[in-house]
Amino acid sequence: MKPKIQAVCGFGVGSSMMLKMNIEKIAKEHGYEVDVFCGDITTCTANECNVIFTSKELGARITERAKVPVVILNNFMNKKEVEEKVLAYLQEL
Amino acid sequence: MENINIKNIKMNQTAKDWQQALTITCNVLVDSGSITSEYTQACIDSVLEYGPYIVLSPGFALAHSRPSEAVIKSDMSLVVFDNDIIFGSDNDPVRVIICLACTDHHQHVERLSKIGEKMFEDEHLIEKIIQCKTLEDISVLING
Repeated sequence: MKPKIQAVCGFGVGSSMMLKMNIEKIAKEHGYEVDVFCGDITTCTANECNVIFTSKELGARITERAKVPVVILNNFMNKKEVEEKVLAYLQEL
Repeated sequence: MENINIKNIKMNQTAKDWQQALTITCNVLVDSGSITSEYTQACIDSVLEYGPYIVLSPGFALAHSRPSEAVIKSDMSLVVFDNDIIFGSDNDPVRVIICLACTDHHQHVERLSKIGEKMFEDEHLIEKIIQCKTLEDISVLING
């Protein structure tokens, strides 16, 4: 089954969209099939997924109520960091 | 299709704080008729509420709020500041701000993705934008 990854930002339209694209790109480059979608901070913990990727500031707000692992990214646009954290998650599955 | 129209790009701006910097960046879209000033306030309120998570990478912030009636058409502006803007983020100081306005969850995606891809593949893109001497040079980096 394809892992379902939720990229989360304040409203699910801007930063999470950029993050979603970067996660998809890394997964593809390494031959993983993933299902990535955008979520907003208010409703994200109600959405069904296997993992949440978000920023430090937003992660602090959802870690407690999230039912799935929350992965924190300091720099959404840094290929090295996104690659490292996405692969670390995918390789554990 | 260009990602950000050159008319929506400004450089050599200065701001005394992040609120003023967001206002300057959003005002480009107010002037072009794409948003109302309520959207500017919504972008500021979102940082007050959720923190400086819009500072996505060193030197760069993506100002945005939710799709709403304050957005007349999906559009983007880009402003380069001459002074450092401090948001209280690990990725401070910010020098480049893009304002994203969207009417729904779809219309803006292609253009935003293209910019994102450029940044993702070139970690020095923001530095290059800061060093540009003309709006045309910035446009080539963003739209080329």
